[in-house]
Amino acid sequence: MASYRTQVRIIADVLRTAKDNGNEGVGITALLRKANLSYARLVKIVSTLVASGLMEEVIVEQTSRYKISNKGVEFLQAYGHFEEFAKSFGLGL
Amino acid sequence: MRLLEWDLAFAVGESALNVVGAFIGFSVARIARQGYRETGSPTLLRLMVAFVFLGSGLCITGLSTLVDLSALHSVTYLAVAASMLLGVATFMETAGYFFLAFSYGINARSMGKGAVLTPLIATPISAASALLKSLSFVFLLYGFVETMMSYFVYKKRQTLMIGSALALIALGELVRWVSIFTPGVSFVLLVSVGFKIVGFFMLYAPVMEFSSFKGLGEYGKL
Repeated sequence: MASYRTQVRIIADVLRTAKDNGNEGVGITALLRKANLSYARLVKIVSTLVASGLMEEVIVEQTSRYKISNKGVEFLQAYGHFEEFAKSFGLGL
Repeated sequence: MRLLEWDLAFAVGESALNVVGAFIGFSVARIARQGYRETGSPTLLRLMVAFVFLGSGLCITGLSTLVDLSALHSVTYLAVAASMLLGVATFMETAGYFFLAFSYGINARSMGKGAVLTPLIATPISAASALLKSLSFVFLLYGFVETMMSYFVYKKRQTLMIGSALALIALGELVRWVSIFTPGVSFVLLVSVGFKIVGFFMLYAPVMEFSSFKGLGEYGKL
């Protein structure tokens, strides 16, 4: 059975995927594959992340690619820290 | 006279233990609040609310014990005030345990609000207290079972400690519940508070390592 993912967990998954791709960034199709979301939902989340400065949009060969920003890395660190905190209680974020 | 001295010692001891418990509760709530501000996770919000209720409940319990002590000099309105404070404190603690259990997946919508509130209004404070204490015990037991199930999956030492802490706090609630039916036995109350404080310390130990995090706290609204 697929487990329910909260919004914050989805955001962390998207950011981790972008981080794994380093400076090259990641295309929306690859994000779709990894994040396991509908196209409309993913586009909305990516727009929010870019607007809040957690991701950066770069244009490579006329296509949009997304890479994680320094703020995004900080967010992932905070997420990892408090994920461990919640796990101590036997909970997930 | 000798009995009065013992009562005084027990009351002061119980109050002090409750204040220590409140401090631990508020400390956990502070970390959960910071986590909520950093990540916007609803789980951390529920944890924060749970521990704010628990800390407040313990604080008021400590206060009610001291007020109750003042009522020993047969000041009726103080006795009533102490009884009311204890009622409020018990309610807050139970609410705290409810939010803790809720974090583990209790579906609040499946619990009819009217079904819970109606008997509370209709019953006297002592009976409502007994009802709330038994509810607290059930919530804690649920939290303990869920935490231990999580421990068997992740095998994290901290999870085992928090599971044991919840078991001790549940034991404390059970002893306290028993003490309602044996009025005047301060020792039973002290044992109950002792279990709960040891439980809170065990709960705080693994949580302490998360208290030093310095973040920006600006992504909670994502």
